[in-house]
Amino acid sequence: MSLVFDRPLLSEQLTMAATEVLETMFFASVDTASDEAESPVGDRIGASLDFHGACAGRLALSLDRATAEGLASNFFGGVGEGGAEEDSQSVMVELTNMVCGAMLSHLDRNSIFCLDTPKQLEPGQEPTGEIVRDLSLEDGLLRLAFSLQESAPKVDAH
Amino acid sequence: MAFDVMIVDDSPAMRRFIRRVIEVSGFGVGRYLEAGNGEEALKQLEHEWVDIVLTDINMPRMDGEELVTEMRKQDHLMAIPVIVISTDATEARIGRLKQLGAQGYVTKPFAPERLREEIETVLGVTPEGALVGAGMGMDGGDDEFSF
Repeated sequence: MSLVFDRPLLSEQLTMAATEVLETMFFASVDTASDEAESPVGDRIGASLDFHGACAGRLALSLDRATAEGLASNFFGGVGEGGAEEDSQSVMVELTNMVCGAMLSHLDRNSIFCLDTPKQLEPGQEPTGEIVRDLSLEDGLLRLAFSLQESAPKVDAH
Repeated sequence: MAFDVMIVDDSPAMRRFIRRVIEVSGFGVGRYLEAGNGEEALKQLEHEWVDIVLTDINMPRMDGEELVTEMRKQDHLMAIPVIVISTDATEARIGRLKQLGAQGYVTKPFAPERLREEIETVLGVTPEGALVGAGMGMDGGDDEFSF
């Protein structure tokens, strides 16, 4: 079975997966979620991850650096030996991994997906994809982008 | 009672997080061993004994499925309980790991209590040292598989 490109469903699942991960492991809440709005500004960092298996695609996200440092502090319970910069980079990678895994698992519980190792985005690079969602956190904006390969069947149900 | 724990994950951040969760859970831990993939884990386990292995699935060189498979083949490792910690919550994956011989499975994201409960179940003791009735201990029995 492969995923069907149902934009509203994927958009909803993307938001749900990110919210679940943020609340459970980073003790952060999502205030609002919306489709891509204005281009985020400021000093931002991000990561992306390719997945394959029943279906292939990519998930990427970005966050302003200060918020990433706050999430890292929540995740680790303090700042590590490598400092806040290293912590925030590694947390972005973990956040990407967990959001992607949670989303795919919710979408198709009967297939096996393999997640590649997440990669950091270049400084200033914002994630792009067929579906882009902006999640407003307490003091920052998390941008999520999700794409399926063209082989994924598309439906126009909405 | 203090346990020796091995954490296998290619992400240093995740290893650090899991270690922190175990520490705040109150389990007495003697030693933490860490490995970045299954191959490194097996190499360490050639000359080290641990009471429990917590492993990710997707890792370079040797993934978690291969690690569990290898551990179940080797006489000196088959008794060590394994808990898989993964973002993959699909029934297909969980079923496959169960067949391979993992005793526990925790899907990310997880609350700290969830990992503590799984360790309690698999080891058969609480952080306070009380025995857990349904614990499978080291016998590897399939009936108590705790997904």
